[in-house]
Amino acid sequence: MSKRDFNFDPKEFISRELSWIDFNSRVLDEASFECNKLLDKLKFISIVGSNLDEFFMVRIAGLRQEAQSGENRPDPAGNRPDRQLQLARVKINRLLRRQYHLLMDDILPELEEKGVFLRHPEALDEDELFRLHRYFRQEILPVLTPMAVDPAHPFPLLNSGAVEIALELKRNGRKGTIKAFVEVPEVLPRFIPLRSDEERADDNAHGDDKREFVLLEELISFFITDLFPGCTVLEKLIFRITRDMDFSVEDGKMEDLLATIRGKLLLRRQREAIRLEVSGEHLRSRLGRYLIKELNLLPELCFQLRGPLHLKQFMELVSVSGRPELMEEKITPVIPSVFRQYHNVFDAIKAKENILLPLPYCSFSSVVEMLEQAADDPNVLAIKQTLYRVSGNSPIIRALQKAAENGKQVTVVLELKARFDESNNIAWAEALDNSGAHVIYGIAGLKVHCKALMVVRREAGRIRRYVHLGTGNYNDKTAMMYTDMGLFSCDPELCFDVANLFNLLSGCSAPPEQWNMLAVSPFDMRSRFRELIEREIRHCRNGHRGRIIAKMNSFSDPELIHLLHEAADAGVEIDLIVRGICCYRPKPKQDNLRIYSIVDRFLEHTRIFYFENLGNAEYYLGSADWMTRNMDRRVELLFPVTDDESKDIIFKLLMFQLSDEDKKRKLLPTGAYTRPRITEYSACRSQMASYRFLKELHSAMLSGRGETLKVFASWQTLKNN
Amino acid sequence: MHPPLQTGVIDIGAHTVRMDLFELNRSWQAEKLESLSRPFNLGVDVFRNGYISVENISKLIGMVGDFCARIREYGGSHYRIVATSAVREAFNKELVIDRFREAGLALEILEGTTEVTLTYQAVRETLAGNFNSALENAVMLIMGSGSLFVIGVSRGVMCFCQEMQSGTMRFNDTLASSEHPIEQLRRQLKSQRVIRLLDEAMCREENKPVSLVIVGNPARKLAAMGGKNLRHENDCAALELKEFSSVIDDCENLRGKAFRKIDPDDAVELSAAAVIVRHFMDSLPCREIICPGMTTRGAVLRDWVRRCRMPGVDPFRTDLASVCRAIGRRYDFDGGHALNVASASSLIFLKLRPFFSFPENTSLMLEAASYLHDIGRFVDFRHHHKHSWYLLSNIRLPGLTASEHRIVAAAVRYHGRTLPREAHPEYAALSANEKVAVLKLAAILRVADALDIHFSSPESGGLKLSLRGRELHLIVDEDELASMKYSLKVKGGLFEQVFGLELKLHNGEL
Repeated sequence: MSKRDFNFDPKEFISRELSWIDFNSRVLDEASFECNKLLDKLKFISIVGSNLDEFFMVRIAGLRQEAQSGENRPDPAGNRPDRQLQLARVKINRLLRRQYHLLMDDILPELEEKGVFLRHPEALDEDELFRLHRYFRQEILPVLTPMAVDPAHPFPLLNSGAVEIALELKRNGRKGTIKAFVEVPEVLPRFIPLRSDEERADDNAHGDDKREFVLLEELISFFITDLFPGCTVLEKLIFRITRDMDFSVEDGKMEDLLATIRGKLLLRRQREAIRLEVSGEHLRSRLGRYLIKELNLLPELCFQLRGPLHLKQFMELVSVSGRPELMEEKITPVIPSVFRQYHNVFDAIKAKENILLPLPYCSFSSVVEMLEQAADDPNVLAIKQTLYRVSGNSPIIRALQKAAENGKQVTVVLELKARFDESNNIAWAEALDNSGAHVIYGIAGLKVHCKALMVVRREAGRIRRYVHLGTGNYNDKTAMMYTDMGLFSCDPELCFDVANLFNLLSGCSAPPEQWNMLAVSPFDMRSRFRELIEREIRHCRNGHRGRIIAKMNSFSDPELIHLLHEAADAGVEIDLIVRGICCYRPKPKQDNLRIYSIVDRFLEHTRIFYFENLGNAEYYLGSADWMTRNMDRRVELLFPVTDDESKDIIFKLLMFQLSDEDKKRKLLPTGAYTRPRITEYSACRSQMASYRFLKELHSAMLSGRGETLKVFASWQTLKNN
Repeated sequence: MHPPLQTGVIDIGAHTVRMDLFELNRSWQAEKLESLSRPFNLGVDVFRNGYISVENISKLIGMVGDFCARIREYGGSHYRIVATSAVREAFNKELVIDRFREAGLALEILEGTTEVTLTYQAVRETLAGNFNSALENAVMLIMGSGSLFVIGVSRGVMCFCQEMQSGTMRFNDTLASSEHPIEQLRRQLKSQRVIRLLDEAMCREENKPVSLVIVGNPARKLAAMGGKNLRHENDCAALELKEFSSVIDDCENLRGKAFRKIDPDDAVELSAAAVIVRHFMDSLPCREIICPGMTTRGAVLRDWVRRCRMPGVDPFRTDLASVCRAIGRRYDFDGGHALNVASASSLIFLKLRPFFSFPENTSLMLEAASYLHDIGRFVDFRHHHKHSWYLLSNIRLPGLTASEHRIVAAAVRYHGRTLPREAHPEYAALSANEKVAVLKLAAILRVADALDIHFSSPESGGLKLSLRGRELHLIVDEDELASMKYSLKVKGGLFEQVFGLELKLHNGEL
């Protein structure tokens, strides 16, 4: 748990916040690549929008708090919070300009060419306006709540992240003006179709497949006088504020975590506003200035955008546009061969002992099935699972509820503190609790981020345990969009550790003095990584080869960065595949250390760690990135992969990534990334190669070991098939 | 064969409550399913205040209840909850048991001698095989937070066992209050003169201990500091003397890299453990240090399995006899006579067992009483039975519970002519069941003492027994029966009253 004392050399580090913005810039690149389909580009625009929201709510808010508190401690890269804020703002402005340029000048016009239009109400004809007005009065108006500001009504508590309309009104026959606000309700669709489904069907029959939408806030703004009869609208402003969401639950308040989190969520609207976004050229208008003053905003954190706000919601347009041909074809996840051979998931795991499940290439349904079968299986005694982020209408939750109702001992460790999913998780917690499951809300002072599932089953009178450990959440939706890896196992040593982990999480037991196979943060994961890296350094210093391949989402822990610099200096061959934040600054001309980032259609989310160990390679999968929070402030899991077949698959997938010429960006000593210049995808695109390889492999596995070996052999290099 | 079953052993120690959840397969092999531990500083209550507070009793029950729920998760219903030194020494331990009973939990307080016997036997089983010779001539230290047991093993059999009120947690207190804690610890250990007693018991000149076997949680931690991690009960590590010595040095003086990672309380306790080990390393000519991974929970489980598999068989009998002989030697006993009495009493007991009820462990109790009935002669020949009782009341015999110990001492008290009376405080203090046991044991012991026949085995023809109706015929291969008949007449009365059998002495065949 303890960190080694060492002096930071700022030259070894890249600023975390800047690295994060750079990552989003790489995501935005995807929206500009010709080889990507139009709606996929829109998806990337939307992802950047969503990421920026979170960045402001947490990181910028945190930096602002630090800067205001006067602490002003520099980060490992040597930048003080105010300097970081300044640098971040420059980069964010550049990012926003690019984002809106791509959206307004490239994507939306191209969409219009393909028959998908975003129309402004002012550009509509009378008939269209009539229909929209009717829709407004019937569907929208009843949901709207205007809030006036006058001496009796103070400035309202505006929701963070919601699109709002500010108005300056003059009451007819009275002197003076009043201000009012209308929140654009999130319960309504953001994109209002101009024609109903029936009308569109008629048009389709006549060969017109046009799809036209009006943005909800523009529609409300257009008919806003309906809300304020007897008033004249002097000025209108569509805006959105972001509040500081960087709150944590103090240890002292852990007695009733559920109540504490609920309380914190209720107070969300009262938290400080940190960002203002305004659509159009209105920031300097009367209303703009009024908002900045009332919300006490820093002018440098107010943004005037040249298009619609809340781009995260443009993901909705991807689905309502009804143009699947404008998206990359969906892949059909592979069902691992062993699950095709055995009807029962438990029989399959028993037969192989370890089964690797690379997502989204292989189907997440095996995990859901494991739970569903367990829920109905009379031999299953208990199910234990950690949950961090769960999808809406989650089949995982349904299966757990069913199991509890069927009398199984169901223990769920649900992390209420999962950022931005707090209210979701509270709802799930209550639903599970009502069905009789034992719900635990994590550990005081630590976030439970590990992904583990254990089923206790009685077989011929004996107890056998089955586990699934993963690098990603038990979320059926993200399992189709994120690359992750899971491992099914019934290895007794591993199961023993997982049972002890659940005892630890449920507060039933202190951590064991030693784990058999796992490394668990915040207890021994840091020291395990340290030992593994130091072993490779030792090998190198003894004249042998040292080799590390590590794939993760973010890399920012100063101690591990320092240690990796030491390893690189010692001559260890290091390949890091870091999707997002990477604070490691490579040294010029140090060819034995290479850092790549891969951003593609699936979000790279797998954490894989490979240590060559003089030919006795050790493979680990885990839930933790190399970040200080993961090592010291979260419960995370690192588990070894011990069977040869799984190791071979992992190695192959890593090799695909390292030889990816389409999507791999290399981090340069300057802190910048190389940019792939492609107009067409090749066979070197690692995500698709991984899918094709796994598809072939599992098909060959059904035919026997010989065929399997042939697949491995034929995929020595990436191929076009 | 039995169906596989899941069972848990919960051990309430001085600063931690632990549970190991096992599955026993059809051939009684145990697989550990889960291992739980919760820090709970009972020792602070007991070793400093003498009792366990009401709040702590409630917390303890809650914690144990949680552990039992884990057992039920596996569909198991068997469990044993044992408490060691902390609860054992609390003056309100009966109240603790009662509160547990009210909560539907059966708490068993493991007496020191029982704890040591179980651990010793389990370690012996673990060492069989790879470390066969380790327990040939050895000293075993069973280190707990509240107590330290020192065991001498000579020619593969236990010959010495002493409890020292020197658990690592008690030392922790000493360390905290002393200016030169390490020195004070060493002095304290020396003052207990355990090494001299060990020497005597092991006849050191002939059987020098060659192995130092260190058992218990502090021992395992020391081994881990030396790079030997013991994950399972069956694991065992041989520690290099030289390397281990430097680990001990580091631990004694709380220095070294590894100490940076350790919680300060643990570090102090580890240091105390190191001082203890160093004391024995320096005082004994040991050539190797062995550390088995055995825990109290593992030992309790093994004992339970043994009782299920081989009811009525007590593998500790040879060890108890050996310990008794060593004690006897300390008090100048007549070894030949003691052996004869032990053999004869055992024979009589085996003959009577099918027809009369005897408490569990009667065989062991008789063995101990037979060997030690005359040790009071060391003080004074005339009232030696009373002195024997007194001496025995102040010795702890491994393998016997406190109640069994009281029975043995009282049986020895009445092995002469005196009959038990309520006017005798040592008899009056016994429970009804204990009194019955004393009567039965004393009755047998008196007859065996009166016979004093030398024989090596029942088949050797020294003594034969035959039960015919209400008569027990004692057939001895002796020509001169007069003195024996007289002794029997004087001492056999109690036997006839207790068992309702008339004793008939014969020479040769009936």
